[in-house]
Amino acid sequence: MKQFQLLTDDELITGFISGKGECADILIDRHRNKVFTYILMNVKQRDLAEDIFQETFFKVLQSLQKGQYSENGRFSSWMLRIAHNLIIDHYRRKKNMGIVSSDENDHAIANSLKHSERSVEDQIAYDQILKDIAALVHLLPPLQQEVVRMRHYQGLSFKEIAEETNVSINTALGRMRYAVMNLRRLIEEKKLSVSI
Amino acid sequence: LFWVGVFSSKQQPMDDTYTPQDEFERLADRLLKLFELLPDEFFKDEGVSPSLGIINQVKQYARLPLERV
Repeated sequence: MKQFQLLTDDELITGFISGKGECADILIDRHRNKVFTYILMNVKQRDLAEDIFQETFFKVLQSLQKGQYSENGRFSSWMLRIAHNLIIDHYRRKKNMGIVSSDENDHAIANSLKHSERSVEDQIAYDQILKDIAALVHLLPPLQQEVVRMRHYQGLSFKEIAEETNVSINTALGRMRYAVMNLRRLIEEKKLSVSI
Repeated sequence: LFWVGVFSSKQQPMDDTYTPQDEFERLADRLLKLFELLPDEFFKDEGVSPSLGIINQVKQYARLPLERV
């Protein structure tokens, strides 16, 4: 473990992608305080901050596994931008309760600070995409449908979903992860033009 | 004391379209730029840590297989 501590972020990322779990542990330990402090200073509620912290690393790890990180040497800034977008998205979603958030659009979030800003034309196209996705949600297994609805339509946090459904937060996160993966597959099968 | 100045800038001029959400996002942008400038080592002493339970959950999550659907 000690030898891993000496590696740079980029070397740890390479190790994580090749299956070395210890590399992820060190990345998390190395950056957790900076990311969490940023989130907490914005949202000012520890429970909410921890929820967004989890979501941030959920997206970071997924993006790394998919090879979507390309900003060599700026890993910390990249993570902060993901956290920032999740915070903004959380409050916009609360404001527009009932509208599916774009926060599963992890690649766009990871690479665009102003991901939620759209022109009128884009918004019309986006609304249509949301309707298409709503139809696809019905094709998911029941437990995955449940977590998608609670998260995106009811605006519950993963902690609240875990309490409502009597499962651990990890299980709720896992169900959401598989729901998103299944939705991606369904979108590819149906050749829809949408990125989630 | 370090953090005192972070939110001390004057609020943007208000008009009919400027909302509290806009102000929140402006401050979040400002804080983000500041954090990007600060070295990671600074937060070892000055930062706030999430709870151990949350850290462990994230670490467990990192070890989940990617392709199980």
